[in-house]
Amino acid sequence: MDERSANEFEQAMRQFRADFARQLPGRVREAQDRLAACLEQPGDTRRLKDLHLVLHKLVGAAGTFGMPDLGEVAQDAETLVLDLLERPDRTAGDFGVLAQRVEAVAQAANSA
Amino acid sequence: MTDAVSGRLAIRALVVDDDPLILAMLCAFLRARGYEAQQCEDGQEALERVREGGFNLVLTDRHMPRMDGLELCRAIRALRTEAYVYCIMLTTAREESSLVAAMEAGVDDFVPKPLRLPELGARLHAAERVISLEAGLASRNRDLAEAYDQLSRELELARVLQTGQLPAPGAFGRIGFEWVFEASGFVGGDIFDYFDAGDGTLCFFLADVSGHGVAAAMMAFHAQHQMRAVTQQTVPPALREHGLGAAAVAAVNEYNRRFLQMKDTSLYLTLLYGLLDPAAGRLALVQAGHPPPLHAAGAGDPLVPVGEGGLPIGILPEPGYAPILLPFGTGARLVVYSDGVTECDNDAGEEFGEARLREVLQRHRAASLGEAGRQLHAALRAWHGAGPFHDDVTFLGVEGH
Repeated sequence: MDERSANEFEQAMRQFRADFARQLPGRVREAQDRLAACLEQPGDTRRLKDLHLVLHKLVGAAGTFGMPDLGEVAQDAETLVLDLLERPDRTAGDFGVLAQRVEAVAQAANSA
Repeated sequence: MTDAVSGRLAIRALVVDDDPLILAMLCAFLRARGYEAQQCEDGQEALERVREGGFNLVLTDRHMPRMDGLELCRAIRALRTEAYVYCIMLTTAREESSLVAAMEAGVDDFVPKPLRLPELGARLHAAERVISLEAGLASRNRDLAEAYDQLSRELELARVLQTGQLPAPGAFGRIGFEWVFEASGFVGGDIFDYFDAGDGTLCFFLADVSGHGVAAAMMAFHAQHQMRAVTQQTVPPALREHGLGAAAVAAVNEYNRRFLQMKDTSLYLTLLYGLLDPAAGRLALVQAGHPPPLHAAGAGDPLVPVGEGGLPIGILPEPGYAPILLPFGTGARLVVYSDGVTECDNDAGEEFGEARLREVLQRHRAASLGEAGRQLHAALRAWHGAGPFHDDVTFLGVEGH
């Protein structure tokens, strides 16, 4: 990558970080909405997988766009979702810890 | 796929991720490296794009709706694309335990998420090396395929020429000649001929050059030309001074001398050379390492092998050949064959052998010589099956009418 290309990319990268910061509230809200949908039907695997995809994207994007702390909190939440996916007999009561983690993601996003 | 301006291999990348921001960032990064980068947001669409062709790099996320990254890589490998598509998968630390499954699915390399761009750059550098090597290999394979096609065409032409050199079945007065020949490949190392040798005699021979392919076929052409020249120059004076057997030996000795004068060849050949005096009903054979021919002196006589071997042509300057003198009157028959007949194998690897050869020819002893040859060919074909023979198959029959 020559110097000019590197500079252009760095400029684009600043824009991507800014775009991510602007999108962050919407992404967090989407995670909260998906969590609420799961709580309505805890046994619905499709809904849980949708939540997983939202959190997974948040983990990758947060770390990539300069918010590693947010990425770690989101990864904790993603791990809990994956654990729940392996429990087909899950109930709403099993989502308590996950709900706390999603709330932690929202707080981390606010303070980022 | 080479960049027309720089001459470097062009990297045409497809980036697959369901996060539009990650997609845009990766495409910008790849373009900054000089790649042509396109993007799509799910595996299914990516597969269609790869199927359309032109991409040599796919950078894909693991988790996506519709078709995930693993399925995508597996499907790309199943496409058997003309050019290799190098696949890099973006993974999280949690997914490291499934790397083996990913590699089995056809993933070439992994880049952890969150993305660290210096590491991604290093991985892409490795990808460029592999893509470049693969493109070079593909280019060389195309060159080899073209060379092979040209060589095949030329070998086919050589086969047509070689077959055209063979004598037509026919008769010289009371003596009939029949043959069956099937080359193992495009061209063969077996050659035979029969012709008027002067002074009322007929000459025939069957030679089998060691090895196969172009060199053996060229040597076979050379042998055919030389045998005629040697016979015309050597046989008439030797006949007048020393008789039929000595004339046959003189011709083979002279051919052996000329063969040894050729430099830088590791080839040799086996030869069965015959001089026939139809009026006298006599036959002289010289065997130079060739399988023993089968001879029947008269109409009701069985075919029996004659000769004890002798050294092939091209081994020693003084090989000590001796003539085999045989009666050859009305109803007599001589069958000369190459080792491709007796060594013809079946599916179990068992050779046809001399005993089966004699049995087939004896069973058709009362049939015409041409029919006996066709029956032998049919027996060999049945023994070997439908595939090409591993060695040239030649049957040359001589009969007194």
